[in-house]
Amino acid sequence: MTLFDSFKRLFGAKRNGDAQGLSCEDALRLVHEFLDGELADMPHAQVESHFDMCQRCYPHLHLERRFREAVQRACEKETASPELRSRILDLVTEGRSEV
Amino acid sequence: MGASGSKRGFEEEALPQLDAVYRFALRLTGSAAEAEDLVQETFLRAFKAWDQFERGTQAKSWLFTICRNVFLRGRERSQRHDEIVSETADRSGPGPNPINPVWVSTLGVDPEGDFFGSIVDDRILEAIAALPEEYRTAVVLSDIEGLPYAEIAKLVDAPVGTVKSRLFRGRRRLQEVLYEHAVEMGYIADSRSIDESA
Repeated sequence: MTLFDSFKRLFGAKRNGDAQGLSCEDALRLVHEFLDGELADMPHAQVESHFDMCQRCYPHLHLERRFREAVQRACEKETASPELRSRILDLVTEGRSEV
Repeated sequence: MGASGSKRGFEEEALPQLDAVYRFALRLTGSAAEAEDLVQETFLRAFKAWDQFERGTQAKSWLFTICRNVFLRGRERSQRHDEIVSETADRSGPGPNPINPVWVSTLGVDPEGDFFGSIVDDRILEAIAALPEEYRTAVVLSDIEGLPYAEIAKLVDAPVGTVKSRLFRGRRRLQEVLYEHAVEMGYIADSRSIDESA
């Protein structure tokens, strides 16, 4: 089954203008801006309502959230070593003594 | 203001960003040793140029800019051609299809993407490291460091639309790689084989 077939099966051949006056296609197009808090032309609450009310779009949003959580989890544990921290502090101290 | 006075605020504003700059350097270089050298060079340059830092702006973004510039200058000497992202692709917008292919693949088995939670951190870091630099930078700055599009655009000297496009493509590519890995590891059933056996 092609991606286009999947699209048709899920959303029908025509655009779905439904939950909160926003079509599923438009809501999905805005999913990244919505999660990034960067919606420019659409109120956040309107897009949020669509995802809250649309059973078809909600899993899509959830998948994007799970993806981001996994990426953040993988990276957040990495911190500068005490040795590096100490080298940077020395650098600042030496820099101050030179001026 | 005296010379030492011009460095005022460095400890309070720049040093707290050390972990974030280190994480960013790690994602750029892919190696702890190279990241440490890059961070040291970044803070050295930032300290020397601290009087040029515009107060009231984000020190984190400024440090990321220095870090990336130092990294890119070093990389010019050993350019990896396979990492160059076509600017034509960047300008072509975020793509016509809003339907995430990974989501389509997970229909019937895990459409909410819970499989991402089963993937070990090292595999995720490998997948991020394999992204082209332009995509990797956008994803790291947005998804890990939480910078707004406008800050990222300023940092990489590209229009906001280009940043959005790189984020879109970088996230999609990362999701596809992680999905394939999850299928290989058995974290999620391959919906294609389910379709075929039905």
